[in-house]
Amino acid sequence: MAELGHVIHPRVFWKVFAVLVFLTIITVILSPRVSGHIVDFGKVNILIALSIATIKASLVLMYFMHLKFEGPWILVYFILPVSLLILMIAGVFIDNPLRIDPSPEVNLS
Amino acid sequence: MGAADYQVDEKGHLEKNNYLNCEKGLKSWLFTIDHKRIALLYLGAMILFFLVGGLAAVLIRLHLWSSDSKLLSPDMYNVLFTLHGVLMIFLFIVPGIPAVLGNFLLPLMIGAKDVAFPRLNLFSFWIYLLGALIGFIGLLDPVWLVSKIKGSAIGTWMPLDTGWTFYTPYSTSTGAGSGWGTIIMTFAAFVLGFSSILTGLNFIVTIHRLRAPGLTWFKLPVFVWSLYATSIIQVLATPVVGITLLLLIAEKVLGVGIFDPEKGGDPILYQHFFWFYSHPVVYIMVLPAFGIIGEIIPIFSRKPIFGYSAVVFSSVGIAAVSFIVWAHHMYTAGMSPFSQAFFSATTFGVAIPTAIKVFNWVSTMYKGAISFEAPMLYAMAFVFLFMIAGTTGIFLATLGLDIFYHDTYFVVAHFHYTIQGGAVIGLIAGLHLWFPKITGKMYNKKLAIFAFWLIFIGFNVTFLPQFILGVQGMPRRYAFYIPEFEPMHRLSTIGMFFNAIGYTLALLNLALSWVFSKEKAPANPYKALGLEWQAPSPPPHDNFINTPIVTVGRYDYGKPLEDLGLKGGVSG
Amino acid sequence: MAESVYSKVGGRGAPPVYHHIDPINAYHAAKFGMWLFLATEILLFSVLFTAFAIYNWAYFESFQHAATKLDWKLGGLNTLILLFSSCTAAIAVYKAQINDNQGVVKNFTVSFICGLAFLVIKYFEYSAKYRHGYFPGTELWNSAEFSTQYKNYFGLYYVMTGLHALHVLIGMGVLLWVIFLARRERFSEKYYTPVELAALYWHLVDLIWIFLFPLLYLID
Repeated sequence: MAELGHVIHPRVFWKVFAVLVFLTIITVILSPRVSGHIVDFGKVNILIALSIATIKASLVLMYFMHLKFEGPWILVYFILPVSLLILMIAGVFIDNPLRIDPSPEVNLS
Repeated sequence: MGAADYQVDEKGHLEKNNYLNCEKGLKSWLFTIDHKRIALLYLGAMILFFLVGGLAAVLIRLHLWSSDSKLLSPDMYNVLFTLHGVLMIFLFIVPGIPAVLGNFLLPLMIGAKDVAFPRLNLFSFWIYLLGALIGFIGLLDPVWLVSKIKGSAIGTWMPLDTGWTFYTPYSTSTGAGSGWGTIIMTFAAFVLGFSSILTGLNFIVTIHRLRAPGLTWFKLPVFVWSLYATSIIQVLATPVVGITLLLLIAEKVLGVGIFDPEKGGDPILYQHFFWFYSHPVVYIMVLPAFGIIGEIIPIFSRKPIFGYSAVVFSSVGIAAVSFIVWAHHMYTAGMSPFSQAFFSATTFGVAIPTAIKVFNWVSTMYKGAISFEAPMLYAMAFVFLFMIAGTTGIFLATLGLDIFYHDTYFVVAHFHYTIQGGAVIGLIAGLHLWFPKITGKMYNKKLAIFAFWLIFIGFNVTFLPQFILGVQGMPRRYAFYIPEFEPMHRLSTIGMFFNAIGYTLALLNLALSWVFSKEKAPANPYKALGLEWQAPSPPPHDNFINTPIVTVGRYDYGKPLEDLGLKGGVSG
Repeated sequence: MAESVYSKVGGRGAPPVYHHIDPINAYHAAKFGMWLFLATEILLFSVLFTAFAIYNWAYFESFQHAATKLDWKLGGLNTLILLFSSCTAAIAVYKAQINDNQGVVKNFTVSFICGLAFLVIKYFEYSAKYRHGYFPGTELWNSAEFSTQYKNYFGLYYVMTGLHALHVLIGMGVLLWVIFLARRERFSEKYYTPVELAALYWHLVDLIWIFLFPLLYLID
């Protein structure tokens, strides 16, 4: 009988795990707080941390969760919520930072 | 169970061993996994909440008869409009058509025996009841109730008076309701959200995986497409309001300041999160109604639906665009000018796919052979009422106008035209259309038409004056108003009576016909094409006696019968 | 009483018989359904991430300062623990696919214990905060020196990590249920749907933490 779902051998998982651990260590080293501000890219810090997190998440998704081998619809219904997350953040960030507030001592910006 | 166990008469009526009487007893209903029975369970509960919410509306409109009315105290007025909104939205129209007609018809329309996850379907219903129960407990205002029972009542009955929108900072303050009232009611809404999510999830998987052989995506009924679009919104939008309400509760309990300005929070952030769900939710309410109208009009015009692809793409298009318009509820809240402009632009956009549908419905009727049965009357009323709803929506989308219309009766009238004139009319239309299929009986046609006219006239007399009131400046949620507004308010209240009597008559007609009518419904009383009409009336537990095969297009009215392979005529 | 719709026929390892769907379609439907459920969880946490993002922008200095009160070593340890548990959960699915029920038991038990370790570390973190006063209701929290912006940070911190911890707990419950089924040799290459669904849920718990850790512990 044909297999139900795609089979991935554990050696793949261990390799992915190793990469994930490595990336975690990198994230920690590159954080200004841990390195005592030796490594500090200013505003870009958060982007670096989030980018590495995104790579880690992609590895978990694609290999641990088999997303690389699933059909197109599951991919669609994964991308949709992520798009909404981005939309939500964008929606809030076109509001608060761009407010023209008559009473500056009250507002957030 | 083979075909021999089912004695279907020559007209397709199944008297014994249908889904209603194959099993008897309360347990067989409460623990059923039959989607058809679950649909009826939802219907029963929803009608109850509709009536209670309607009662709140009657009291509100009675109070508003006079400009300085003493009927209700101001606090009680606030409680009542909050309850009206919460009941009607969370307990009636959001489960609405998907829970009743969606549950009943989706498997039938795609030739399946049930939805993808029947037990999850039952679980959705129990969660719905649980949410209603929690809401009921909140409604009792337990803190006040206990203190009253103990003898020294603290304050008065005040379960919740924030409006169904639970805006902060009032809802996070101690003033809103009894404090506990707000927490309990918002938690009830959170629980109800799960019911909505799981139903949507179930429908998406059902449509993807359980279609009969040969039923490709672009052969699906428009009602199924509308359910698909609705389910996507249910799954994606509802979690947002769930967590927002949890944050509200956390703010009250933990005392942090996420939304409370005195604690460094941003009340507009609450509105962003709230409306991120609550705008798409209005499309959850109305998209299935669009689908029902798209089913009714071809049958009673004996014509194929005009522009099937356009209807399909506009359904999914509306779902997609509905996610990028939310802040049009917040133009006057204090957002940035850029946000205001952006969301005004996108809101104009969402009118386009909706208008496409209206063109399709009207074009379907053009040069058709129209019969004015009750479902068709409701469908035509829908088109008329939704036209008014949609165009007044454009007024509200226009930033410069909304500055004046926001929080006035113009908005109240607009959303009643969309929700009641749209979604509720759609639900009633569908209940009439598929009544023979669901019950195996026919309703009293004359009474149905009479009730329809009461509803239609009553509804317009209730809400058209409210547009005028809104333009003249009458604010919403106000217990008192200036005497100049009295005539319009009185007209509105008079209309409300006809509206209420109309709904009561329409529902009574259906209920009493079901119980007392001796007229056995055939499988296909309207000679309609479509898979659900191939099932007996009422259907057996497994929906079809023989596996249905898709040969005829659902909207192939007007084609020669030989071409359709239906030499003997359409069954029924 | 009508026949039960879900009956187990055949030996152990055979898929349940459903009246409305065949076993292969049932597997794919269940997996799709689980991914849809994961989509809702992503949206749940999206609101929290959005709230954190906007307040981080608004109260940047206070957030930076408050974040120093978190112990990145414990956070990092928790990250490694969850990553490891995710790996064993994926292996458990493989074990089911090759008819090795005991392999499922072993790997999911490791994941379960990792989850427990995660929660224990979280408990130590929370109780340390309570002792230092960074907790709603403590003296320091209620005092004037504790700015509203600090309260905002910690409020978000507790809600985000608390909700995540709740999901860890639920995930552990789901793992435990599947472990019990696997001990009875329920699964085989023809039926391992609960294993896969439980693993998917557990991976989500890991995914969320992958983002929570840098945002809360490392951003400066």
